[in-house]
Amino acid sequence: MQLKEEAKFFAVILGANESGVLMLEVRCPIYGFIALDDWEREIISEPAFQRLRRIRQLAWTDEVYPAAMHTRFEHSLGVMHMATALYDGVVQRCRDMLKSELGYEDAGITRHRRLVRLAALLHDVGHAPFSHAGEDLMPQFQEEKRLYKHEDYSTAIIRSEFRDVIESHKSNVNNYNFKADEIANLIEGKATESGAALWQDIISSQLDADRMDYLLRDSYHAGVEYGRYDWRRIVATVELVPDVESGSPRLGVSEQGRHAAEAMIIARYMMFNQVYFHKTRVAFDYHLQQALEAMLPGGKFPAPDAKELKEYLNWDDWRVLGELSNGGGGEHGKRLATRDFYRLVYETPEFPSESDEAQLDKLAAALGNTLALRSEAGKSWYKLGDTDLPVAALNSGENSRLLSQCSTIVGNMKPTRRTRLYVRAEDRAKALAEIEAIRGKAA
Amino acid sequence: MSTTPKLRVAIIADFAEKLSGKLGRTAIMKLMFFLQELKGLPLGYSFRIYTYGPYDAQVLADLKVAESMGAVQSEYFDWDGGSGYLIKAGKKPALSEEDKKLISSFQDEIGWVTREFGDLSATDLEVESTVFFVAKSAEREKQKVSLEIIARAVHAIKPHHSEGRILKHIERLQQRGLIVLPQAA
Repeated sequence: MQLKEEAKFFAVILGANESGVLMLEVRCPIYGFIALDDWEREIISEPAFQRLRRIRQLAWTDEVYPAAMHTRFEHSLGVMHMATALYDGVVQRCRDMLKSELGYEDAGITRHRRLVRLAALLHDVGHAPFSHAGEDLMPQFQEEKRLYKHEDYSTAIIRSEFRDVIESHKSNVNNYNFKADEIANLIEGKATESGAALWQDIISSQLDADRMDYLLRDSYHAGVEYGRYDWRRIVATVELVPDVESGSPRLGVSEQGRHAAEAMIIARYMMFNQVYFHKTRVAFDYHLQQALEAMLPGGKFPAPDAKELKEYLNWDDWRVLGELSNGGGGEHGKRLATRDFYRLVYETPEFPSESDEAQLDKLAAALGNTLALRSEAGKSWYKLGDTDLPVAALNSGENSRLLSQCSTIVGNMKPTRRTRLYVRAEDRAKALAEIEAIRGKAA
Repeated sequence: MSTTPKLRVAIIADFAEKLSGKLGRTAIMKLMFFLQELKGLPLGYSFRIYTYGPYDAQVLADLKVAESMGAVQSEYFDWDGGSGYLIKAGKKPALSEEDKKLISSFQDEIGWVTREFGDLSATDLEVESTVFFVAKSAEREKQKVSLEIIARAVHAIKPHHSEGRILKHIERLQQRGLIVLPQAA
């Protein structure tokens, strides 16, 4: 055991992983360095991954926070780093349980560590230009009676563009024998292969590596403090906790990590209100979506199928900016180019009562054609949603608990249901006067 | 077409009324899963598979909205070997005319799911919803699977449950005509 720990220590000093494979280190403003081995380096060198350098993480948020110009490329590396830290944290604290109760051996632990790393690295390769802003323009997924999502594109891209570099690389052939589908299945939440579902929480949950990274990274680049929390404490206290109702193992924290987890949930709430659902960012997202609709053939992105996927990959921020620069995107393209965005004229409280909602409907009806945009927090990609996660029992013999039960703050958090009304800049004064008149009458 | 958040809140409130005193969060999650995946209601959820069965955080987000609107009330309880929220019906949410018509048209499906699965424990709901998730995945991939293959696949997702226990659940579902499995080729 001691020898193994020493080997690990020297491996890190020499820039190698614990198996002695030399690692490439990439500078990261959040974690310092992110290490990649030769296989991962080949994966990120693929054109479909390099495309992420040309997909901005926060769309046009720089119109509000000018430094928020970072990309999905650095976020993807960050998610891999965070996912690995979470995985290693779980293994360190739950190794006995993994072996005695869930049938893991060391080889299985090593294999799933790699599975989690690759899924985290590749989870966002399917993003559309400017990330979420254009996602409503993805075509209908007939089989599931819904629109395609960026995860559908990510998994289709992994199964096509990344299949060879995943399946044929010597590291895979000699050690893991992964199929591209195994990685895609974990990303799309269909991991039925032995034991893989256990790690789904690291890819998508309240404690997933994606949101743990984007809160820190978006906060850093936007220049706000709201998204910061003690992620190292979470990594140091993460473990498999029995579900409070059924006893099934799920990702949670020990009692010692409770306050760090609480801080992360609060960070999500703050970042939603201050950055992701900022009134001006919402307007720019709308203009971008409308401009993209005008640019795309048929107003929709190509589908994630064999026929259209290559064309989808040709769409990135550069192409959209080029089109905008050439006068494309119709009326909304022009608005983006000249910063002539829609203006907020009315918003409900974060938690509207029935009378608040009735008032909103009345105002929206009165504005008629002047109303240019109605935006609801509940439809945002970043909405707070569920905020609970399990906390391990404080003393032996006690039951695990939910964070909402042991944290008054989290227990009292509610999903924001704010709705906003926007008009054209030139209609703002008239709309405000109309709203004031109606509200004055009501009072 | 997908349902509105308010309609989903109304469905949760309906379950809370029908299963008063025995509805927890796991039950809400799995009953919504059955409504969408077995009865085809367009709830707009995207369920992913976890060791604790099919799950979409949006269901619990809808439950939070239901709580904040007073449509349901949640109270935390400790019991021998576990704990969790017990969800009770509150005041009926105000619905648009369209949503009123829709929830009325969904009553057969809500009633069916309540009768077939409403009395199961959280643990049993996890296993049976996972069985359906696996069976549906096999159907989507056009794979012919036997009862034993389904049990093995569910065990791979839920290694903390024995294959024997999982098989008993599949047999229960077969006996009630809830699942029909073609024989493996």
